Amino acid sequence: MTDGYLCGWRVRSELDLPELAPWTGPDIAPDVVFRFGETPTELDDVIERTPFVQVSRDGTCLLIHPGVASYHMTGPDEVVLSVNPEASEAEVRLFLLGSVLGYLCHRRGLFPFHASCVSINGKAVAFSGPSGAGKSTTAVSLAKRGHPLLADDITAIDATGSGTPIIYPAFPRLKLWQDSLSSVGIDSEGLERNRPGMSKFHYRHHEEFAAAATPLAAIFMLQKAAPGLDEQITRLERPVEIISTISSEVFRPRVGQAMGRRPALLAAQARIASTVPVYRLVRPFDLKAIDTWLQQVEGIVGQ
Amino acid sequence: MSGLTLIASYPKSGNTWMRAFLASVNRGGEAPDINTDLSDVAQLSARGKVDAAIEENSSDLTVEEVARIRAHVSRHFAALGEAALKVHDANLTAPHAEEPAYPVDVIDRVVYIVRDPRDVAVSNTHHFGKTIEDVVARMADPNYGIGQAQQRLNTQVHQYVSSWSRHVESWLDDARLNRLLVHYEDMLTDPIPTFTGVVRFLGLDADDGVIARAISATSFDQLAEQEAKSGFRERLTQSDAPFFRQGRIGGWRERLSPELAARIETDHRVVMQRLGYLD
Repeated sequence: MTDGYLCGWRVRSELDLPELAPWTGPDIAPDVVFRFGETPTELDDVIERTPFVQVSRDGTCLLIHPGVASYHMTGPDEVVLSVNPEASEAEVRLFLLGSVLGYLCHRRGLFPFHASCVSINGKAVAFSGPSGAGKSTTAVSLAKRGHPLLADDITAIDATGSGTPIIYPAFPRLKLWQDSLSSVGIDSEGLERNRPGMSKFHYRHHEEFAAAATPLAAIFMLQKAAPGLDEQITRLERPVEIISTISSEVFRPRVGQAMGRRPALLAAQARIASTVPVYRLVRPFDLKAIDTWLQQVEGIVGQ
Repeated sequence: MSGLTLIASYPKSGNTWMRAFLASVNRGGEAPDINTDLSDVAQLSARGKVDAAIEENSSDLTVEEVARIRAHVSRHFAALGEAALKVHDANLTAPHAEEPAYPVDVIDRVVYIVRDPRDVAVSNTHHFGKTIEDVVARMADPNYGIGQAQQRLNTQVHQYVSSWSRHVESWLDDARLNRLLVHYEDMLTDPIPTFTGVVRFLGLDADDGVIARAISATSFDQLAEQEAKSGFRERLTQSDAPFFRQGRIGGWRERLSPELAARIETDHRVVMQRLGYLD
């Protein structure tokens, strides 16, 4: 049983979730419950479907990974899990704290952004971009430089207020491939594998994790340069470019739209674009000189 | 037009060159930027495309799970009216999958590019940073695939390529396909009719002047010069040479031992004879 903090919510989970920081807030009823139980194989009135997820017109979602587990989000406050006994614990948690967390954000009114996030001097800095751009590697390298980790793949943003958007930290766990771990000098020995046999590991970094709402100070869109080229950091200026850039990295956008979130997602993008500086960070192909451009990031955020 | 337009080939057979040419045609014969404009001919095996289609992290899936969803990805993008696509998959059902990655019902037309397998072997050796013996063995391996993540994130998902011979036969012998066969060697020695044939087959709106300018804007020297100046994102980390390395015909005569050349000729005799690479 876990009584933990996740994106500002108190989560009570029958599945142990060592990724989460313990709940230290007021003794309120849990916002979200994860429990074991029966799950359907098919939802009624499905309006969006991929090989893995079904979204019903009433906003409930069913994610099925046959070798791992089925996850039935019955409403904004409950996920029912039916676990394949063959699955490893890490892979059961993987999709719950991945896709399902994205569905919960949509359902509960947070903007799930496909980004890792660290806190630099109390300011949240998000790193977004396509797979392989280096989101997790950048985050773990900044954590190694003493900046608390706020989120890995999903950065939950509250952009509904009138001021600066707020990050609600998720949990201090990163999914890292062997080469990224090696580049920051972390031994993979003893780390859980993302999936059995895969050279991708779960690295938990609980030191200094702050389970507290943090203002979003900057977004860096990561892109890998061609071999041999130096880093290049440019601030995006044109609102159209900023909004389309943010919009391309909404986490699980079709599920969110099926839940009727399109207007809210557009409003969040507009608010972020008008209040948070967005930079394009073309990072060098290899990671040897990573500290050079991380110092530049720290400098930009520190201004 | 409904369905996908595919530019298909075994790896290192001229696919990227064709993409550069088509990108140039799209720009009225101007030289394309190899690091941005080749996306005119996108790849559905790119992780970003796969993830967008399935709303899941493909890097959290096993090779078997990825094999099962490839056809869904193709259907998703066919429904969205995706333009031309680069393909290295064989037109075969991968192990653990239920149908080929590009099911025939979503394919509108295919340009299939073929190249002398002895030159393919030399080119692949540099591209993948492998020994030439390894590459020759892979070319005969019916289970060969690319994009299988090992120690690091691969920006492509696993693609079932199979052996060189099966790859060629799978695309040439499927009578349901509307297909144009292009020889790499003809792209080099007889470019005007060869590329004009491709443009007409794809139904592109380009006159002879645009085609001629595109051919010269994407000549091997032009592409190699651009790579030397600004690098090329699609070059693999483990590669030991530029992506646009030599692009010659018959380079294998200097680079392949007689034993390895003979092995390729034995492994692929039937298909090589059929394509005129062996008497």
